[in-house]
Amino acid sequence: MDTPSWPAEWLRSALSGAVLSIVSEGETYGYVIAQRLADGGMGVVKGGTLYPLLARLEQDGDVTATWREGTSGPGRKYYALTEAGAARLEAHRRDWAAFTEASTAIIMGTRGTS
Amino acid sequence: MTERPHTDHTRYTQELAETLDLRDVPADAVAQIVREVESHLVESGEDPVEAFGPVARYADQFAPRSRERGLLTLAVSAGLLGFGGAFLVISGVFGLLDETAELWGLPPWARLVGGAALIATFATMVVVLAVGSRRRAAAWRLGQTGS
Repeated sequence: MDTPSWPAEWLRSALSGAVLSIVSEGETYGYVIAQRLADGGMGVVKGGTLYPLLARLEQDGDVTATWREGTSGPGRKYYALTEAGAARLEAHRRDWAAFTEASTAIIMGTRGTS
Repeated sequence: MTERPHTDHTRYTQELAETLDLRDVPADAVAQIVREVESHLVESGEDPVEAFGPVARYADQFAPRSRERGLLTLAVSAGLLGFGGAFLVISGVFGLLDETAELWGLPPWARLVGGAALIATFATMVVVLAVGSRRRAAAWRLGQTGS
């Protein structure tokens, strides 16, 4: 499968909402989140970008994290959405939809007459 | 902890731990950041620098470099103050015992008072450093340590 490579600033603006949304579907950990993003067509998100974002979300109280031991190795850090995170995601989805609709209309030249 | 089979990652994670530690990130947070890097590398099989970038730049994401330098400056000046204060006090005591023991033409009592003032400043700086470090540690809420 072709891995798209979007401009870094596009990814930066879309990433936190996408990560919150993936975590909202159920407790999960970094590597799986990166794979879900890639499979969803957002391109490769490197660990150097993803984990600091997860740490910020955790510090802001949008997600909580729990370490689970594996059979060997360092284990996995699972993230789950908090109530505050769910509220933020809901607001973010509304705003994002409005913003992308408006910007898409302008970019595509389909904006109606003012 | 369980054994770590990927010894080629250890150099990267060790360097990362040292860098974060130097930048005054609390030990608990350092352990978590490093463990998550290990976890990702073990699962993905990626090259550490390829996935996370150079150690210093990855550490920037959690603690800016300026903190490292600022802290070092503070620690060095605190050390100099403590050393200078002790030197002045000792010189003052010798001056009181023996009038020929001079220093910069200052009377012994002035050396004692000056030295005591430097030591007091040193002690205050140590307290400020400790409180600041604890406050930063409290601001780091990187979740539960788990196991």
